[in-house]
Amino acid sequence: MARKKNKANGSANHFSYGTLILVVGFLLLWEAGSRLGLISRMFFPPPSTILQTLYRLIANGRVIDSARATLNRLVLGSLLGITPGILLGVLMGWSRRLRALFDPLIAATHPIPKISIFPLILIIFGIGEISIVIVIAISAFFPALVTSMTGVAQLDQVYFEVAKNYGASRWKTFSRILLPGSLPSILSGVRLGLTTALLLTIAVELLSAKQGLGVMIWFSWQTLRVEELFATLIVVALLGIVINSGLRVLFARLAPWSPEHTGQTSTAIK
Amino acid sequence: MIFACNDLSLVFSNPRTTEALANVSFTVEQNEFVCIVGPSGCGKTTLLRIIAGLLPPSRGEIVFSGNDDCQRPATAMVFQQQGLFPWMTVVDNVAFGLETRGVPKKERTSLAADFLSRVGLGGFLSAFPYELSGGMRQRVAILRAFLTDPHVLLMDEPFGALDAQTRILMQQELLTTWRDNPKTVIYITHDIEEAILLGDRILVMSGRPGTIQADILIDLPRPRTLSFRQHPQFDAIYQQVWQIIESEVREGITR
Repeated sequence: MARKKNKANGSANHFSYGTLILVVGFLLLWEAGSRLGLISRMFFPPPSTILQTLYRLIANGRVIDSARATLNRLVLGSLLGITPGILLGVLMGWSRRLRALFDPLIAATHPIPKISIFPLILIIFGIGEISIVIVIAISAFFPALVTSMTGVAQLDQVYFEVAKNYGASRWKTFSRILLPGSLPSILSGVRLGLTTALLLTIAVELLSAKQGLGVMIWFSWQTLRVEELFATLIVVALLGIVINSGLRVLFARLAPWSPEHTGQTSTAIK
Repeated sequence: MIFACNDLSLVFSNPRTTEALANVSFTVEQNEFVCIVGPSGCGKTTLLRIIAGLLPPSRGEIVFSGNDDCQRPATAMVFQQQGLFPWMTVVDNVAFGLETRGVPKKERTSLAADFLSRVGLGGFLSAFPYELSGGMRQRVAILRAFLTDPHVLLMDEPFGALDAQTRILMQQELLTTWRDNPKTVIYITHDIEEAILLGDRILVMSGRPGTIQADILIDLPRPRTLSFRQHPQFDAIYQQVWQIIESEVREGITR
């Protein structure tokens, strides 16, 4: 009966030299092809040029300012969307009656691509920052709600039976069983919400904004500064990666027992 | 007498009417260890869930007469599996029964830590259940039930999922814990040998509908160890129980 240590075998953490070689090889081919004129230098500038452009954009502050504008919208919109999404999701998972009341509404509105209602929001709230933040919030709201609701509803009944048998009050059952038990789902709700919000932030910036990474992308396309386009794309990609892996690390600390980190699925224990 | 089931019946009417339990009556004395043995599907888990208050009976009642201290809960159950909360550390899991009774955090944590240390689990206080083997998880679940100090301790095949060797050690530890902390126990198993080893009494159940077929007193000396199987009475009791449930088990594998 030795202590069993379950190593997380998340494939995402695995680093392979093969992948690195693949990426470096691709970049070298690109560099050579572009310099030798095998591919259009105008549309596919060599990676070294793109990196220089990126350095210049960082040095003159343009990309920093844009990234800050994008982050502001992203954080504000996500907070406004994810918070009520999780609150309602947990309550709907907890109460069958609330679920019956709201579920049809959610099922009907969830599949609508949120970018498509942006014009409607513009009509209601006018052109400007408020409309942008609202559409980001709406897009983050749904995945946060659905994920946390499913997590609460799928929590193993045996935990509630233990709580009941041990005489736990309704509040104890909520705060000690339901909330921590569904924490992994709530956290993946946060991550999904943020990922969707990033998508929407860039999309809306392409359409209508004065500053932001999406604006830079659109502007560099319209003025055919392709190396700036690529440089900005790198920043957007990095933003996504940092958000995702940052949350992963944070969640592993908040819920180290979660099946996601222990490499166990709850069905495997059964 | 500390506990009595009076004429318990349970009828499911979904999707068609099935009688799960019929006229189950028995009493249990203070600090008695009662084993309920029966083939699978005889309704023994259902009976335990009714006693635990997780399922209302269709007819009949359950009486706890030892209510000297209403702070103590009527029952605490050890589930077959999955009974520990994955999000709580071992010490918090064990202290959970005290937590629901409003014992302050400092006090309940030190009580639970003491209790765990006494059985050699002191090194795992802040471990999470996923870090433990199946056997250790059940040890922790049993300690939680004992520390909760209910009037009646309920166990639903707590060692059913463990391998045979681990089970032997777990049975010995359970008996030691019970000797040091005398409690009224109702223990469900389909393992006749286990029932004879652990119990003061065996209630033999048969199913469809679940009824109690026999109430056998096991008047054998304690402490009981593995060698106790050589006791002449062991075989006699084993045969007696087996004869009652044999036909039903046979039916279950030939149908």
